[in-house]
Amino acid sequence: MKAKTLIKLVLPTVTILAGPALHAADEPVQSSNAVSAEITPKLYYFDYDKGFGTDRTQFLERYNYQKSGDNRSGFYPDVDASVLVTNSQRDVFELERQGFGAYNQRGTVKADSDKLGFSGYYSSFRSATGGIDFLYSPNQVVGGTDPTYNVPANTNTGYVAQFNDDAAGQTLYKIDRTTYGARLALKPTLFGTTASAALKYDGYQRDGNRFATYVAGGGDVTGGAARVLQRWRGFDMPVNEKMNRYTLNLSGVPGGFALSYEGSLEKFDNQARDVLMGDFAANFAGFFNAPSATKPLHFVPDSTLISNNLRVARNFGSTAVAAGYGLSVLDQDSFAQNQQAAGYNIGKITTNSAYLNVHSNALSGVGLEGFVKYNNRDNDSTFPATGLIDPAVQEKLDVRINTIKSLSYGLSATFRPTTLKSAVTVGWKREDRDRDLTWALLTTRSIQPQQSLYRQQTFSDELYVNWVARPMPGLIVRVSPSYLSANETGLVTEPAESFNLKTKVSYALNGATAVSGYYNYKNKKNDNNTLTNGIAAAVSGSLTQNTDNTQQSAGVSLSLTPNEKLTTTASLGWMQNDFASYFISEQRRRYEQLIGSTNDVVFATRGTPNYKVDTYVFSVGADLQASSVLSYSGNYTYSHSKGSNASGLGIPTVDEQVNNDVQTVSLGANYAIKKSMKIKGSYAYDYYNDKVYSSMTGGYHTLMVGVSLGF
Amino acid sequence: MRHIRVLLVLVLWGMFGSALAAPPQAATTKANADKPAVKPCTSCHDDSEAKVHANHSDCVSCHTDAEAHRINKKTLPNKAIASETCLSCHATGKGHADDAKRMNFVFSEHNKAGVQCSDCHGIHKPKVGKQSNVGDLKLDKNAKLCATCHQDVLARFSMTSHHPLKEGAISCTNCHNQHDGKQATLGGKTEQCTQCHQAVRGPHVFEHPPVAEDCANCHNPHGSPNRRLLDVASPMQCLQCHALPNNRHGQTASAATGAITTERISGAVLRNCASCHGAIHGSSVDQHLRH
Repeated sequence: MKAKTLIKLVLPTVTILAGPALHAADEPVQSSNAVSAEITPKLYYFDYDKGFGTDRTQFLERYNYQKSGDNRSGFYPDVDASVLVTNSQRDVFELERQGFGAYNQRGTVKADSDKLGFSGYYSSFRSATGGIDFLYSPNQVVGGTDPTYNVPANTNTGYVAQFNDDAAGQTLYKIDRTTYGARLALKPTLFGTTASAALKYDGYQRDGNRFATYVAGGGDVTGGAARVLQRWRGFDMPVNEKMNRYTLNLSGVPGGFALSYEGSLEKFDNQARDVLMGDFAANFAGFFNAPSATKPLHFVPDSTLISNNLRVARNFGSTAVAAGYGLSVLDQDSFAQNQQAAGYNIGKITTNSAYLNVHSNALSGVGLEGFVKYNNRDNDSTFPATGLIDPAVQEKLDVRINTIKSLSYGLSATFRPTTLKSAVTVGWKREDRDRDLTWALLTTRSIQPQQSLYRQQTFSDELYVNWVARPMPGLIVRVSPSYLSANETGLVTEPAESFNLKTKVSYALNGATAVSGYYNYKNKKNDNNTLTNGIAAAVSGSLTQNTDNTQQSAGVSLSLTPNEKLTTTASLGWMQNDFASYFISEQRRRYEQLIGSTNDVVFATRGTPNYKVDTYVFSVGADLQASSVLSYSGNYTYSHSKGSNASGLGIPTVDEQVNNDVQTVSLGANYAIKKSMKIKGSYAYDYYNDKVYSSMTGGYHTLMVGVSLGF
Repeated sequence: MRHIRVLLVLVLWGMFGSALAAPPQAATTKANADKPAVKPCTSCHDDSEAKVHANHSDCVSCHTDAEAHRINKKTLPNKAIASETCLSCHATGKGHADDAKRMNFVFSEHNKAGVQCSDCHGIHKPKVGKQSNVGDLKLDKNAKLCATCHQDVLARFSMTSHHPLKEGAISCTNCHNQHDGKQATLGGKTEQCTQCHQAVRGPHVFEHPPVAEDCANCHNPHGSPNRRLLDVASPMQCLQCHALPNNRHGQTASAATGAITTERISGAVLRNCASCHGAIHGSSVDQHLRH
């Protein structure tokens, strides 16, 4: 369903729904409905300050796209609207629309009765996300390409000496995402039981383009040595996606059992044309290998997801039990030409999941809880597919994930000692994850599991404590340490050992002052996973990856209301991520491993680069009711990030360092000319300053003036 | 399509039109017929605050110890309403269509942290009103509420790369179920993200294992100083799992030597792995995830 179609559907519906409600308000004798409405026509002015020229997107457009065509400044009208109909029972009708520029708008509608409920929503948001990567693309920055890689002609890696832009001059990359949906609920009152039902529709449309990059394979180019320079390429990739999801909810509480069923059908359609390597054959300077013409570039398949979830919960005195089972099947609906030619006609992922939770307060003074959770992801896609994915053929398989089974379970106990009015939870969790993986056959030149850091098993235990204390009115202290140890880890991103601490103190005084502070620490290390040199002991030895990742954050915030006219807030936050791991090289690709020959693969560390970035966020705001008719509002936010992405690796400065600021100043004022009429105004200035890649620096002004009319 | 639209409008009209136009007093009278009179409370307390919900105007159904206060004003009722009190109506099919969302609240992280319903939901009036600071104008009202406690998370949304929460294009509750527990959820870890990001879910012929396992292996969904919400910037994000072969990422084809070379690997190779391996979430045809 297209957005316009939905709007055509919703608008008359809303009109009909609103009609009787509004009409009822005019007849107080018949109904106690009260109607309030506000409409605010607005005029926006925007002006980009600094940054790239009219033909390029800049950083801030990612989150606040104001440009209209190639204009860097201009006006546009907008309108906010709200309608609320209430009676002594409930809000029977609510309509709200908000606009924050031409490309950031949303609206909701709700209608409610004792038997039925209806709600709908839409939103649209434009983002220049793809433009950020374009501005960082290889041919845009110093160091993005390196000619020395092709001197002398290097047929393996020489392609990074030249980047070939097939975007045909396109420099604007933006994506519009429009979401919409509606829900009709049939309440228990309608059935005269505890049963209820709801039908829900959710959808979105995603339109635009993005800058996509790729490398053509060695066999995709043919001819002389210069052919290698044609391999690294980028192009303007169209994006046109549509998703429609239909959901049915059924629930009830028969005999004290809370039952819930949710079934959904989700269709994802990629409506953009498939881009093939052959589309750019003419740009390959005569080196394109014609048989590669049908190779798809970043193929996005259509797919259907069908989900069924059943849940049940029941209280048995002081014991609560909850259980659930879910089954979802993701099916691929469209296939690339190469997939079809290889007989690959099933793309299917099946997920089974279940849980059982028990919570009991049966023991005096102690709350006990236990859980078991199971998840199984099964890959039922065509395998093998000759010529596409085949464990018996070199470079036709890395590793295939057949299934990932995860079983986690744990116990916890909560005590409530009187000391400091505390609640202390002590718990233990275990996760056992088992993967069924298929690697290429040992008889072919292929990647073997010993030469990968991916493993079949994850097995970890975690102990944790949550302490919450309320030692005096308004004061809450939370401290939550935990420790995890894993005998086996499937990925090095999983911790072999982890220590986690979360703390928070908050204090509220008389509802007028609130102050809080927090400090969080998380360290995870992994030295479980090892790479083995060679396969048949022609070369011995191994190398263990060693990762160390520490994340810290701390902050304070203050909310102060000195009098009923003035409210102030301030907050300061700090976040740090400190990560180090080995940079490992091998003298040849693992595909070139040949049993019993000198082609054994040897691994060695090239260094221990460090990623360490600090971010500070400061915000201060105030709201002042200057008089009965005049109010002011202001806010300033400053965010600063600085650090090194990968010290010691020698990548280009623009990539190796982070050093930027984002500042936003917002000012607003409301003036009530009369009870039903207000003048609203706001001004915002956003400024992004990149000290590493100065071309990204830029800012923009936004000025809004509106008249709010109340009814 | 037009006929379906007309039909749907008529159906909705039939269902809601009469419901909206009908005098609500009848329902009110029926709903409160067997409940204590409200007058004694509202004769002293401002009833405008007891207007959020009809049944909330029946004070004693929540303030269960208020009867003594009605008799003797010096006996103060407990203002803190336990979650169990709320859930006795809001999770038991007594008129609400969303009770299933709250059926596992006892197992939720919020409940375990001692958070009560009334900490987030205003019983008498919304906890977070429509009025907000000019800096938060775009923020969804649910997100405003979450931000009152989760300041550490809110700070991440001010990082240079973030989900557009502050811009109002997304809300906390689009991803998080505030009434449920992590141990009482169904579905895989990646399904949470692919509810919106279907384009990367495949199914792929060649899967990238950390993608198939958990999106959070690489991305911090709240915010990051790195492009594309990467937890650690490329290339280090990739190099923790991947070794680089000299003969494909070095300046010479050195495989024949059988030994690791010490030649420089320059920025052209390391600057952004996804510049070449663009199909980082999985590929339909290429095992090297290049396209």
